[in-house]
Amino acid sequence: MSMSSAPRSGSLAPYLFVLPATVLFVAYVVYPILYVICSSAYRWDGINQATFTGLANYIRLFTHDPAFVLAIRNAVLWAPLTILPQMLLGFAIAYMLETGVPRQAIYQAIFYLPAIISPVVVGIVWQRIYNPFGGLLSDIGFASGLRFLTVPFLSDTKVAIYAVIAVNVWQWTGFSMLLYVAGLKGLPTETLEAAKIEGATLRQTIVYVVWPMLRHVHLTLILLGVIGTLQTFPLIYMLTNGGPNHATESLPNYIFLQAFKLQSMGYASAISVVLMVIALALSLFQVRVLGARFALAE
Amino acid sequence: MATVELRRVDKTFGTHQAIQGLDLSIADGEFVALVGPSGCGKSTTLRMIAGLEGVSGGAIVIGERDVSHLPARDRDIAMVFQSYALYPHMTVAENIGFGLKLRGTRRSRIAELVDEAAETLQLKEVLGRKPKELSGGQRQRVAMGRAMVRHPQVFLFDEPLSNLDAKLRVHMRAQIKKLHRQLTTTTIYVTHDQTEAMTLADRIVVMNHGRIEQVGTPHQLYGAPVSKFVAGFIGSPEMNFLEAVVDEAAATCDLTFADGSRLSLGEAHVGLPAGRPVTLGIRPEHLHLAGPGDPQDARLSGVVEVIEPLGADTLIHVIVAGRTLVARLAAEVGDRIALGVDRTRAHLFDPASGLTL
Repeated sequence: MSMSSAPRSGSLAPYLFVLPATVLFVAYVVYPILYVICSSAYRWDGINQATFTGLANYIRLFTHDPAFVLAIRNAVLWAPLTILPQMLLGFAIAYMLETGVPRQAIYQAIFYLPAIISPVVVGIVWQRIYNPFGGLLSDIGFASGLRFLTVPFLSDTKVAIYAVIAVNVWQWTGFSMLLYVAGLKGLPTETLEAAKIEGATLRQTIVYVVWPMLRHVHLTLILLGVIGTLQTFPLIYMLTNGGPNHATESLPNYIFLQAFKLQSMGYASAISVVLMVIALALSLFQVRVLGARFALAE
Repeated sequence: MATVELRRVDKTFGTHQAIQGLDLSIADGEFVALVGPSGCGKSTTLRMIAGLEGVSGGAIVIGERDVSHLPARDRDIAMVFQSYALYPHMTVAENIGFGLKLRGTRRSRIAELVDEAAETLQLKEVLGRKPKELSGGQRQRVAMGRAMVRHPQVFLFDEPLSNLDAKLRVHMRAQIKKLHRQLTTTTIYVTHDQTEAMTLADRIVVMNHGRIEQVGTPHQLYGAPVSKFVAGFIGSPEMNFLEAVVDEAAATCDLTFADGSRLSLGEAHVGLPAGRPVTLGIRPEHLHLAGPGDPQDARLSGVVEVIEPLGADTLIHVIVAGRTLVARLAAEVGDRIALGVDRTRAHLFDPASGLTL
C-alpha cells in the first residue's frame, strides 16, 4: 500500500491542523487590533455609548496634544540613549570577561542580575536612590561636595528623562552582555589568531575583526531595544509616572493615562494605533533593510 | 627569508608534557613538513613558532632573533590555517590587504600588492566577493594570498588542505609547491598526510608523542627509517610488518615466523644473535611474484584474500604466516602465490623499542 504525502484536493485535514493556531491568533491578535482601530474612530469613555467622530481623535493627537509630542520625543531620545550605551557597555563587559577573568560565570551572573528583577522593584529602589532628601546619590553628593549629585533627578523636567534612561541602561546592560558573551563564544578562534599574526593590536582586533563579526548580535539588540523602547511602561510608571509635566512620558504610559485615568478610551485607541504603525514600520525597516533577525552568529 | 631554530623547546599543558626537548634547525628558504599522528605535537610546535602558544622551556630563534617571548605580530611570520580563517565581513581584497592596512601601508600600495598576489593566485575575478561566496579552493588561495602579500620571513601552514576534496587537494599541493619555488620563503608545513609531506617538503620531521622520531629528506625517511614508527608512517600503502625470530645460522640472517615458515635475508643483517625476536618490515612495492631467479629461501607463500585495483596498478592482500601482507601485484582472489622478497630492501626492527636494527 502506498501513501501519498501530498494532500488530496478538497481535503480538510491541512486546515484542521492549522485551525487551533488560527483561532488563537484571530482571537488574541487580529480581533484586538481591529477593535482598537474601530475604537479610535469614536469618542468613548469605555463604559457608556460611544459616539462616532471619524478622524477627530487623530487630528487632535497630531495638532493639539503637546503631551503626545513629548512622548514621541522621549521615544526618539530613549531608543538611541538606551540601546547604544547598553550595547557598548555590554560588549565591553563581555569582552573583558571572555578574555581572561577567572570565575567569569559569577561576574556574568552579577551583571545579569538587574535584568531578572521586576521593573517595579527596580523603579522603587532607584526612586529611593534618586531621592534628593536622603537618597543615596544626594548623600554622596553632600558628603563629597559633588553638588551635581544632589539635584532632584526625577522632578527636574530637563533631567528626569535622562535619569530614567540611566536606570533602564543599568537594568538591561547585563542582558546585552549575555548576548555578546554568547556571540563572542561563537567566534572562530582561528580568525582571531589570524588577526593576531597579521599584526592587529587589541584595539584593531576589536574594531576591525570582533565588532564587525558580531553584527548579528548588534542587530538583535537593536531590534529588541526598539521594541523595548515602544513598550516601556512599568519602569516609567514606578519612577515618575510620566512626569514631571509629561517630561518622561512614554507612549504606553500615555495610553494608560488616557484610557484608564482620563477614561478617553477612543483617544487612547488612536494613540495605540499610531504606536502600532510606528512599531510595525520600525520592525519592517530593521528586518528588511538592516537584515536584523534573532541570531548570535552568521 | 630566515632560518628557524628550535632549541630544546618544551611545552606543558598542566601536568601533560606535549613537547619534550625539541631541537630542529631549518635552513633559509627550506620547505620543512612536520608530520605525525593526531596528538603528536606537530600543531603545538607550529603554534609555538607562530607565537600563538608560549614555550614552557627552550628557545625559538627566527633569523638572528630569539622570538620565544615575542607576541605573534612581532615575529614577521604568516600562517595559513586549516579553516582558512578568513574575515567573513571583508571582501577578498580586504582580506588579503588587511595585514598591510594594520601596518599603515599606503592605500595605493596595498591595492598594488593585493593585485599582484591576486594575479599570482588567480583571484583577480573574485577580489570584490565575500568569503562565503567562494569555493573551498578559492578560500584557500585567499588565505595564501593574505600570507604572501606581506612578504614575511617564514610561512607557516597548519594542515591547509585538509578541508578540500581529494582532487582539489592534489591541485592545491602543486600550487603550494609552485609558490614556494617562486617566493623561496622558509616554509613550515604541518600535515598528517604523509603523501603531502613527501611531495612538498625538502625535509620531513616525523613526530611522535611530542618528540622528533626522525628528520630527513623524503628519500631518507622512505629508504632508511630509524624506527618502526617512521617506517610505518612514511609510504603508502604502509610497510608490512611480520614478527619473527632469528635462526641459529651465522653466515646469513635467517628468520622463522610464528607458523614455522622461514625466510632468509641473506647477508643483510648478519650478526644478530640466534633466538632474538625481531620485526621484519617490507614495503608492498618490494614484494614481487617469485620467479625462477628467486632463491627458495627468499620467498613467502600465501593465499590472496583481497584485491584492490587502483587503475595504474593493483594491491593484493595475502595471508602469510597468519598475518596480512599487502603487495603491489596483480593476482586473483584465492590464488596461492609465492612472494619474492627484495632482501636488500627489508628492514628489521627491535620489537620492544621499535628501533631499526
